[in-house]
Amino acid sequence: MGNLDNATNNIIVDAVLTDLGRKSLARNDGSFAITRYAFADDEVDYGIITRFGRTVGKEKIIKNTPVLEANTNSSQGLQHKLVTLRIPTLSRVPIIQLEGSDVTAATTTNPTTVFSVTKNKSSRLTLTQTIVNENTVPTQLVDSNIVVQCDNRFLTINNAKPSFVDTNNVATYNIVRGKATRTSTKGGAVYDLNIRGKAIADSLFTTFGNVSDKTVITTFCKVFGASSGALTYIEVQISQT
Amino acid sequence: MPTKKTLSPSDITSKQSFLNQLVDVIQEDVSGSATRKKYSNFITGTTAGPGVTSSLFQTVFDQSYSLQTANAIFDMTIGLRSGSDLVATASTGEDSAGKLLFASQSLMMREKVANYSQYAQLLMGTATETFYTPFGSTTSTEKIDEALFVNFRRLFARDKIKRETFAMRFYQTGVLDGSANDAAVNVAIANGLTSSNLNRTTTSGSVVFTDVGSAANQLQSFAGEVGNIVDSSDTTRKVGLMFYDMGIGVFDLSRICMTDQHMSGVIDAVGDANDTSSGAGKMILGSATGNSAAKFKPDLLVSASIDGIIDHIASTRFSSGSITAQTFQNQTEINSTLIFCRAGINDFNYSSNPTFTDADGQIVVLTPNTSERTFSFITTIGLYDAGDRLLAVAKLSRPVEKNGERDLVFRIRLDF
Repeated sequence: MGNLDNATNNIIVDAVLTDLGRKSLARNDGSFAITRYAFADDEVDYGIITRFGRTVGKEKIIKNTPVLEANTNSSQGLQHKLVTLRIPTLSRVPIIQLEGSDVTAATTTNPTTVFSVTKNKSSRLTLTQTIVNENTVPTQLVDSNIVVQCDNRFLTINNAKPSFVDTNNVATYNIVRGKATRTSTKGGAVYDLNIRGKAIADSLFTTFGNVSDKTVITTFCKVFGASSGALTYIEVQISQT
Repeated sequence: MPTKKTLSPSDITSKQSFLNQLVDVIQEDVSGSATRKKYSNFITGTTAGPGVTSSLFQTVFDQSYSLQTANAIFDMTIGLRSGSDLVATASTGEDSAGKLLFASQSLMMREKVANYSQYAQLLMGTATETFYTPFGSTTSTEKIDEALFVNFRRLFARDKIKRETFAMRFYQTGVLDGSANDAAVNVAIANGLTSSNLNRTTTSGSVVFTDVGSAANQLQSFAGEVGNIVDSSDTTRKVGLMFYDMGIGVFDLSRICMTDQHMSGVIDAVGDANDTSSGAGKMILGSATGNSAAKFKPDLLVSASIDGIIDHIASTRFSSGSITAQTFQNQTEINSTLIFCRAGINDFNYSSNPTFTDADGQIVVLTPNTSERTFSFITTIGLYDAGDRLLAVAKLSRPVEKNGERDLVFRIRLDF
């Protein structure tokens, strides 16, 4: 994607249909109906506020942030959504922690938390909502459901059905907390997911496997807390055996 | 969900607008053989020579048509009216089934007649209809008996051609061949006989044909809007018709070309060559061994294949420079949905951007232990259906700050 012209003070809006939008139009069944909207700030680096202060930092973000053209890929169109939280004094937001025997915590050498799963087998992943330096997660930020997105060619979630699979093979699961709730020590929601590596053909390992090890496919899942707006990316490594 | 808001019916409206684009066709695109594509659709049987292969129409591209990036601009072909004097004179009768018969010295006559009929059916409603210019006339002298059809491709014509924007620079005469048989033009040319003018590019004496005046007098036809094409230097002289909705121009060859001009040169033929120097399957039009007094009409129009006539018109009558041969404005009807996305003062003041918080969830835009309020920036707007499918994405050209004191409304236009 190229950059939009930001040389003038006029705000120009560049809008496109996504792959899902075009597919929906092509179905000609009346399914193309825009009913909701969201905002995102994919290009913004809020670290600039930390480095330059609120006044200069805002100015730099507004004037010195090139914005990319709209992306038609529905799984890439909005990366970081803005969130409405009705707590005006909130200075700290809940985070989602990954736990489980197949989770390798991030280290200084590998700053990404990794979840491992084997082809044709399930592994348990626990997502725990917590908050640092606060006693409890505010009640209205306890996630009543989470949205999980993962590559439908490689992974599935047991006992869950995707809401939809987009044209880029990204499956979106809406996991509802339900009545059998577990709660973290800080009062946050806890979700136990059984993630299963699909029966991936060996040829796919050849194609999609890591360069250094063709018996392992690396993919990424996205978890989004529906009430808190917390977003977590999970690196998943799928082993052939 | 705290990341999405629901649109109310009053947030969505629709409107219609029109986009006009200027299209220029330069001379060398029309005249060049690399930019003008032929199709071997017609092949004769023959008892002498290899026979004749010809297109039923030719297509003009904006660059060499061998390149994948070439775009077809327009097609051109010719047609002869079935009941015209020219066809009646050339025909030797018709068979019991009503099929027109022609001497073997003529070429593709039935195809030329069929072309005219096809366009008449498409543009006038019936295959036996006659084109008149000015449109609506019933005066026999204003019939278009020999027509040049120019079909603009949808890529350039879009929804329609805009009225009173069309113009075509055209050379009414071919190069003077200096033949003593040319009674129509001055034969005393300083440079003498060129011996062939069929494929020599005309360089002077152009006129501009245009649809000026068609906006003031908007005519309607079976095929939608139509206007008269006139000589720009004498707008009372009507030379053709422009069917705007169809993107098709119909030109009267008898009025845009000097029909009496002597024509000479090699054309394809099915019979024995009238001059062995021209080779098998060829004849020399206007030579001493054949019809030495051959003219544009009827001789070229009757004796040459459609390719032969189009080759002559395209390669000589539009010249071959880099200036405009044809120009018009197209019109695209744009139907837009306007969606108003509102961010109230308490909405969207936080972000899931990983740089918005540190690893512990502390919001970095707030100074700890102060009463500062959070803010965010908007660069992207996503439009979703009820199933949370992202149907459309809009980007702002620069980030817009959102905070607890700002109520923002973004108007997003989706064009269809």
